[in-house]
Amino acid sequence: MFPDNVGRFIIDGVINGHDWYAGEAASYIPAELSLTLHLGNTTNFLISTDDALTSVYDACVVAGPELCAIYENSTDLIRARINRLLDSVHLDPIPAINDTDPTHISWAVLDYSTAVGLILTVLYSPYEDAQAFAEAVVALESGDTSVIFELVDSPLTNICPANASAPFDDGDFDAKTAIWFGDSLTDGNRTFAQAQANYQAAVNLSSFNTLWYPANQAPFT
Amino acid sequence: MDRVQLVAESVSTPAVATDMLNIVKAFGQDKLNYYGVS
Repeated sequence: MFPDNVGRFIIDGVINGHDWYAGEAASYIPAELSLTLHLGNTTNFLISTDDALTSVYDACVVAGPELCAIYENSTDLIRARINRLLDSVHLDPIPAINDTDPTHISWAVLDYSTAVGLILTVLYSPYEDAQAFAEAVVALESGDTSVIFELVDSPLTNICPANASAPFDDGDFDAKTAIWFGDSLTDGNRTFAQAQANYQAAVNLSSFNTLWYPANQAPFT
Repeated sequence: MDRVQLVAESVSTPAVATDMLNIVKAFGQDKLNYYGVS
């Protein structure tokens, strides 16, 4: 828009522009349906996320038990191990509280969404974060929640107790959602059946859509 | 309903881009330097 006003400008992590302007609804509509609904193409944000996770598990196998805390001798075994953890916190979320400093109590709950979200975050910088994540998993398996809770944000950081010297920031979900949908060139309204079909197609594409879809796509109805 | 239009006009990528340019100008500068990570 303002090419004469660009100094040094880097954006890292660029989404698919066609999907953005088509409203993310386009991402999950099966190809045949997208033609009748005049939506964009069916590429989408999580198209390689499961592969990225597999590559982390593959690397763990190759790295061996000294370097990878969740080492097993196959990718499938590592995947099964992590999935056991996800199933477990799905049924039995794990709370943890850190009140060693009573003036600065932090707490979090490791539930299914938090765990999946944590893995998704690790996939943004797997070379930096995967090793620590593996160690956190092992600690958690033996009942020590302290390691994984260093990786998970307390929901009340800077909110309780309030940090009066810092601006209040509760994330950008509302702004992001409004901008995203304001940009959309298509009508994202869907029937319940269409939304269900969207969701099923999304989850078929990536297991992370159990988290991603509600946070990104579902509000667009 | 006019509030909807007002909101829509202020929350779009062009609106955000214009805001960023205004921030740059408020600092007395002419060119946006930006490192954005998503």
